Amino acid sequence: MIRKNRIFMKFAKRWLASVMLVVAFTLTAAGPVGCASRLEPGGAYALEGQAPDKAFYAVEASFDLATSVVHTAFEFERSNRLMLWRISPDIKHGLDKLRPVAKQVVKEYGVAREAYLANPTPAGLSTMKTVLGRLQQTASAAQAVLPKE
Amino acid sequence: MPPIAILVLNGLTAALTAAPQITELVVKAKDFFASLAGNGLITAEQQDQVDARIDQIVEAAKQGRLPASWDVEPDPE
Repeated sequence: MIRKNRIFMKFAKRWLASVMLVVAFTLTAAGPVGCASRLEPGGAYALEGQAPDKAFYAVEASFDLATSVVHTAFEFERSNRLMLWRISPDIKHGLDKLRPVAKQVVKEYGVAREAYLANPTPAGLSTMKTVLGRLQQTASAAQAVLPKE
Repeated sequence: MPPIAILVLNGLTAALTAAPQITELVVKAKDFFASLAGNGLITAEQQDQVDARIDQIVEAAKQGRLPASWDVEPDPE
């Protein structure tokens, strides 16, 4: 059992290091997408006859990645629940605090997104960025709850 | 592709052995970094994929159909 735990923790540490890097990139990604890249015409964010909306795509791509980080943390804990519970009940309890927050944030993002699609204004995009920031904080918090040693 | 992006991708690939659950995350991260650091062109297909994934998750959240791992479940005995 001790050996199994050690092997598991080795894997978990590698996993965490990777997620940490993804989160760090997610936190800073909105800028580089907007500045360095261009959108191929015909895509969902560069519809024919309209100017490509790079800023919107940047927020969406960052949200997509942040959602994946949160989802992966939740799935990882759920799939390894008994093992992690034996290490510390605080891991599940910590993520349990974040689960309703993440759900709420995704719902709020949906509302903000719908509003932006109906009326694409800088203020609408700013609201989406604010919600994105909350999801990124949730992703960081989820990562902090998972074991490091 | 900048060295930091390669470093990140290597780390993600190594972590594949740790948890199969992260496969999807790795694929998305690779797409994401490719769009940042590739030839600078985000293809129509990549855009459509991001749009579809976000449509899917916001709709699931709206209808209370997010994956079970997002729910608070009872503690193990």
